[in-house]
Amino acid sequence: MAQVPHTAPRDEVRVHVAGYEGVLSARKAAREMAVKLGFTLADTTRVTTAVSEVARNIARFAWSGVVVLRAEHSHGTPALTVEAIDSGPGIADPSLVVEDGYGTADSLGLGLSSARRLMDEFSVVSRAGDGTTVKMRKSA
Amino acid sequence: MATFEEGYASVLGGHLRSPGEAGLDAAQDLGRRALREGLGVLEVVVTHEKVLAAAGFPREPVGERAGEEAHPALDFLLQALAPFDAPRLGFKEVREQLGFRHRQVEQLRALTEASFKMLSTFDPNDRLLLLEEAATLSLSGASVATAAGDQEEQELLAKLPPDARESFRGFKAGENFVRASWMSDAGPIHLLVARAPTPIGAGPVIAAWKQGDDFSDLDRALFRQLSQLGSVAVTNARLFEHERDIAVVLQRSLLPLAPRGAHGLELASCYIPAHPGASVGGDWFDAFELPGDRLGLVIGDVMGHDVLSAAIMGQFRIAVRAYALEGHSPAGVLDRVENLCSALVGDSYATLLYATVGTGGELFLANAGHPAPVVIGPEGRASFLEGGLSVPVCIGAPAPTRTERCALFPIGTTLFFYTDGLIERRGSSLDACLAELLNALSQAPVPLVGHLQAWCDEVVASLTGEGPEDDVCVLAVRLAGS
Repeated sequence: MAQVPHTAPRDEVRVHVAGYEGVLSARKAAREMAVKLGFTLADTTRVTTAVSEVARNIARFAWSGVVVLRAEHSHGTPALTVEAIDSGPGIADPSLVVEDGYGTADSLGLGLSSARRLMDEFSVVSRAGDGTTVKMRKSA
Repeated sequence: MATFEEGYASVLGGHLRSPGEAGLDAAQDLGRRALREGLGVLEVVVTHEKVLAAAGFPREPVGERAGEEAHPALDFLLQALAPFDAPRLGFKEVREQLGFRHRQVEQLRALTEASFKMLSTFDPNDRLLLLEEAATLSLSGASVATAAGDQEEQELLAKLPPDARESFRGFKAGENFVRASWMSDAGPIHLLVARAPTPIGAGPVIAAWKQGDDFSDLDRALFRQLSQLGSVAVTNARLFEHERDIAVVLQRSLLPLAPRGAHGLELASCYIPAHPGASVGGDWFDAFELPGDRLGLVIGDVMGHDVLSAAIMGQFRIAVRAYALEGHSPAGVLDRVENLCSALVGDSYATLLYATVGTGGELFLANAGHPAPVVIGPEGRASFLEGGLSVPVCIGAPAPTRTERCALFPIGTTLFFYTDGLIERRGSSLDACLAELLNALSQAPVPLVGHLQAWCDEVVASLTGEGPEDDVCVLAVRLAGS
C-alpha cells in the first residue's frame, strides 16, 4: 500500500482552462498532486495524460471551463479525483464519446475513451446545449 | 513534413533544454502521431534512444517514485508512450467483455437446454430436478434448492444457509422474489428466492445462494427466468398428471375382468393395448356363465385403436353381454346389438364374434366379420373354425341376415379366439398372416389341464415379438372334461 506523504497535499486545486495554456496548467497541477499522493512514475504519467485529454476537450470544444483536482484518502489509500466542467455545447449521447473511434477515424488512444481507460473510474454527464462534466478517479 | 524521428529529436531537444509541461504535452502528441502512423512501442523506444545517443545526453538515474528524481528524458518517453497504454487497457477491457459475453452465452444455453429437457418429461418431480440442475449450471458457484409445495418449503429452509430464515419469512409473507445479502463468519452470503405465479396456481419455490461476489444482473435475470420456466413446467406437469389419472381410471373401468371358467371349461385370456400411454383400446373380450353349464364367449374389435374406440368398445361390450344374458341365440344377440348400437356409435363399426359353448363340447357361434377362431384338437392339430359369418356390426348397410354355425368338439379340444392385432404384420398378406398363426398353434405343445393361461401367454409372446402394432386380444377355452 502506498505511503501517505508527511506533507499533506493541498486537498483541492482548481484550474481554469481557456486555451492551450490552461491545458498545460491542468497537466502541471495533476502531476504535482499525483507525485505528492505517492503515485508511481507510470501512474503519474497516466493521470497527467488523462487530465490533458479532458482539458484539451474543454479548450477545443467549450473554449473555457474548469478542472478541479481533489486529493482523497479512502481506507488509507490515496486517490486523485478529477472533475472537468464546462458550459460548452454539450454532448447529445455521452455514452458514445467514451467508445473507441468517436469523432475521427484516427482517434485511437485519444480523447475521452483514452482518459476512461487510464483512470480507475470515469463518468460523463452532459446534455446537448447544457455543458459537460467529466468525473474521473484513480487510486495510487 | 519532418519524419517521426526528426520531430521527436526536435521536441525532445527542446524539452531537455527547458523541461516543462509544454514539452511533455508535445510528447503526448508524438505518441498519438506514432499510433496514427502505425508505429509500435518498440519503435518509439528505439527512436528515443537514438535521439538521446546522437545528442550525447547522459543517462538519468531513476527513482521508484515520480517525485524522487528529476528525469526529464524518462518523463518525456513515458508521456510519448502514454497514448499506447489506452489501447492496451482497451484490449484488456474487450477481452474481459468477451469472456463475460461467453459466460452469458453459456448461461443462456443452459436455460435453453433446461427448457428442452424439462418439456421432454411429464413427471413433475423430474421437471423440478431438471430445474435445479439448470439453475446450478447457469449460476456458476451457487448452491440451488427447490421445493414443490408448502410441506417441502420447510425442507428447503433447512437446506438454506444459517441466517436465511429472516429473508425467507419475507418471502413467505407474499413476495414472489426476494434478494438478500448478509455477512457471515465465512464472508458475505447472497441469497435469491423466487416463486412465479402461474394461471393455475403458485409454482415451485427455487432458492440460490453463494458466498463472495454477489449475483450479477444477468444471474438475477436468469434466475427469475428459470423460476418462471420451472413454474409453468411443473404446474403443467401436475395438471397433466391429474388429467392422466382421470383417463386411466376411466380406461380401467372399460377393461375386461379376468374371466372365470365353468365346470369342465377352462378359460385363459390376454390383452395388450398398442397405444403407448393408453391402457385400453378398441379390442375386447368377454366371458360369462350361461344357464345349462354353458359359457358365453365374446371377442370383438372396434374400428381404430384410440380413446374413442375404447369408449365405443365399452358400449358394445355391455350391449352384447346384456342380450346374451337374456338368453338369445348368438345370431339373435348380434341382431339386437346391431339395432341398439347403430344409433349410439356414430360412424364407428365393429367386428364381433359371439359363441356359446357347453361342457359337452357343443358350440353355437355367430361371427360378424371377425377373423375365424382356431380349433386345436386333442392331438394338437389346428384348423380354422369357419362358418356363421356375416358382415361387421353397425356398418350402415340394410339390416343384414345373421347366420350361425354349430359344432361338437371332443374333450381336450381348445378354442382360440383372437383379434387381428395378433396376426397382422406390415408387408404381409392376410393369408400369409393366417397361415403363420395356424402354423404357430400347430407347433405349440397341446395345453395341459390347468395350464391354459401359461400356454396362451407363450403363444401370444411368440406371435407378437417385441410389441404389437395394433391392440391384441385373445380368449382361449379348453374342454377339460369333468
